[in-house]
Amino acid sequence: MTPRIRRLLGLFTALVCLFSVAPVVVIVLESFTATQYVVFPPRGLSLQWYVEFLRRPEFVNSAIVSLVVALCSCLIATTLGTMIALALARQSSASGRILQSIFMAPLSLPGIILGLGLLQLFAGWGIPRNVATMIFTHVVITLPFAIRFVSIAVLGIDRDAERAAQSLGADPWMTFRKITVPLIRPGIIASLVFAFILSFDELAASLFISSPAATNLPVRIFVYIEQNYDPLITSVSSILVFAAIVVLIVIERTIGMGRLFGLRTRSV
Amino acid sequence: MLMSTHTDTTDVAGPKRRFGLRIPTTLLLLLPGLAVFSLFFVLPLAILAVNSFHGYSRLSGISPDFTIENYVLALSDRYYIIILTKTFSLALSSAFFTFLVGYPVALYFYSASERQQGWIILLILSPLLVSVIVRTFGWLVILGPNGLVDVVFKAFGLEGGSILYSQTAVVIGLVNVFLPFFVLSVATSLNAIDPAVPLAASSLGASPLRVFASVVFPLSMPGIASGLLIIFSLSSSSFVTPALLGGSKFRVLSTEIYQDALVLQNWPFAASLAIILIFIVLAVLVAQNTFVQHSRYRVVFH
Amino acid sequence: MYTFTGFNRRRVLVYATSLAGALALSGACQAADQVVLAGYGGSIENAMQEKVIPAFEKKTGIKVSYVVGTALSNYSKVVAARNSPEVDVYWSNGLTHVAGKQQNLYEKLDPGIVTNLSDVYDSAKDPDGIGVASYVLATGIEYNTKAYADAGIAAPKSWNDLWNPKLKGKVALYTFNVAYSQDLLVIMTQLAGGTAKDVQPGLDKLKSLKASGNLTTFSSTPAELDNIMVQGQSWVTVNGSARAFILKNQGAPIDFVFPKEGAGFFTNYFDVVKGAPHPKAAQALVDFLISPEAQAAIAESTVTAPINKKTKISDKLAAEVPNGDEIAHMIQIDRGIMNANLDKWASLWNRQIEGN
Repeated sequence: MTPRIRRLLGLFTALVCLFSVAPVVVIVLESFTATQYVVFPPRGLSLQWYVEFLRRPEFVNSAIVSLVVALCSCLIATTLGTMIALALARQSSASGRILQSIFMAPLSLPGIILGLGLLQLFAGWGIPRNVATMIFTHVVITLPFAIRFVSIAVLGIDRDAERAAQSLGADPWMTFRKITVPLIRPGIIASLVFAFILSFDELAASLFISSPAATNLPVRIFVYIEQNYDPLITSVSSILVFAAIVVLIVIERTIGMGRLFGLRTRSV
Repeated sequence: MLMSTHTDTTDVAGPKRRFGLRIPTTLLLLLPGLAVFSLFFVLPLAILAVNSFHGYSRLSGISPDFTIENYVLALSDRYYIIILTKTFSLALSSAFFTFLVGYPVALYFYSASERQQGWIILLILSPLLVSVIVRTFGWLVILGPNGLVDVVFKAFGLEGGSILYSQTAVVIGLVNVFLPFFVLSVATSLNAIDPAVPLAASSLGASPLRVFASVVFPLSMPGIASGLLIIFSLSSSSFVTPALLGGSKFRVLSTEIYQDALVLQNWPFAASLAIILIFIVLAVLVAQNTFVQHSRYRVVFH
Repeated sequence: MYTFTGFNRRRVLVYATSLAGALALSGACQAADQVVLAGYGGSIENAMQEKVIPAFEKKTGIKVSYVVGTALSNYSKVVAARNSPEVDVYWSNGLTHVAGKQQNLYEKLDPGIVTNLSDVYDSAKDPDGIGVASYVLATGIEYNTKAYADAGIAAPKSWNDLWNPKLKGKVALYTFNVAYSQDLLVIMTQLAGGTAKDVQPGLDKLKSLKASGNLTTFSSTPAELDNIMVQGQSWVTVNGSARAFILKNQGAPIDFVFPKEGAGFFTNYFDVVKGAPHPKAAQALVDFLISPEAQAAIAESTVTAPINKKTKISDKLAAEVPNGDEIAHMIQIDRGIMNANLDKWASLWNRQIEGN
């Protein structure tokens, strides 16, 4: 990559980042408003809506439910997704390809419909709606991402390394642990990140399978603004943005971003 | 190195042994995923499929008789055909524009320092951190009348106005959310490219453009394909963004499904619409998968 | 009504139990002294959780489990579980009240337990004794006072003021998915001299509002409408009085008028679900919910009119909710006809008003 092209790409990337954060900035600014209603540009400067969030047990509870559900479902989805990706990514048989496509199907099924189906399933079979059922619902929704991200990484593996290891007498499990896992780590991390975020933001299906024991944050926000639209919603939404910034800074200070994603720095 | 990439890819297509694993191992790897998938996806979908072959009356609910009238209505009424067309034109255009916007970002991302990479990820991921409805309200403020876009345009003496409630607005909203999927998807596949490959090509005198066109781009194909696939599928089923930014002028299938499923409680018809949607998307996915498989052969043997 | 029963339930239940493990067990051991109420979020939930439910629990010793949702998502839950209900009391809206009645989903109220029924206004009672209204509000005109003042437009008084030529591109309505637009269609039909049996006159009236260039925006959710009204992107809309007054009370430049031809009569209902797991507790809960004490808390938090004659409300609230005279003058909507025809109306509205 010549320096000129690189500079141009950098400029373009900066503009795209600006485009990405535009709606987020609006929401974050709105959350600091001193008014009782949502308005942009915000009037005055106040942290009252963050205090309000902490004063609402139902929002705090839902945030915890979301956190637990997102953590569990991203771990389960990524584990299952990695196994499926290892089994299927290099399959070229027609059945393997069709199976790969079928695993993608949840992406194109509107969440409302999945929710309605699960609602009938749970109601008809007496399955309780709780945190566990919500976790598995989110696993199904996030599994396609896990499979895709790990598959890309699997497709990129230089198999000479695996073969070399095996020819040197490593058993398959050892080859997998020592050679394959480090090579597909970027895909695994990407899968964890996306599965977590998507689960944290899942509304449509969760609306139908929520219960007093398991009402996640998106459902809480949705049913709240169905009745009232006030800046509490913008502060609740901004909290995750701040949390992500903190996590990022911590990762950068401790283990380093590139190590996490396993992306080597170099120029093309 | 180039040679080894070739043999490597041919091997991918090889039918017998992959990954040093035999068929039973493949099955074992698939089993847990398949179990969860069947229970929480296939079963509810089957229930809805059964629903979709029944009639519905607002006075007596779902009727016990078997009928295909839901499918006949959905596939014969011009109103639904237009909506179906709009849905897929939306899915295609958001996939296309995400590619246009995202690919250069992925290229830059790949060559950026670790620190820059961290911030780029955070920034492009940030829309996903805000609840979907609330994020869309952010866009209403930016794109609406007297919104930021309007004000900036007018400041430059250009024709202002609102671009809300159009396909443009919906595509902007969707590209904004789907961008990180695409960028990370491509970045992951670029990451797998051995740095020696492009270096070798340029040291043999190939121009940067040529290196890109004949080495980097083809090798990033799996990432591009996966990214586009995810975006196409997600756009086809997205609901909140089209509903809020597209308004009434831009109804898509998921808007109809929402109305039928929730407002009218006509689960059978909503289910039939969803099943039509999922089958069309599935057909596209299978076709695309086959195409990518073939195009990979082309890359290898040309 | 057909329901999905194509499986051997017992065998499947065993399977599900082993799969969900202890979690399934937690569902099985339910306390006898409890009742499940499916209601709304936001300020209603706040009032319920902080005032109404603790008072009920203290009085009766029955624990209330509050399922938070929307009228429609909770209705789906009631319909899906009709063979083994989980919810005891469902807080329906006008339409799902009638739809559920029609499909035999609700139980009659027991006058022996729901004794507060005798203090309820007649207009809030159900003619068949199934369920009772939870509060009353009006469907009328909401407008942005600042935008009106800046443009020198007088405050709206009549439904016809939506056609004011100074409002080009400034009128917003809900999509047909939101109840207020379903009601507006009937109101417009009645104003045009038609009846709910044929809503074409109402559709034509709304088409002319669109043709005038005034009506350009359709909002899919109440929050979205709040957003564009407060931001001044639209200046006037048709909305429920409660929502408009909540914004006004928060200090937003918003006001609400009861149009002179009559505002729409809008109610939500408390319905006891047929086959409810805790039928006695359900009736007791409804009785408490329509008591003057609970009604005051609910009305104040929702800015709506209480349905119990003995309820004491603040003067501020009294000024914002429809009073006896206004209620008598309101346009009544035949929800039976609406329920029977809603799919047809939705299709007509989609094709004639929102589409193209």
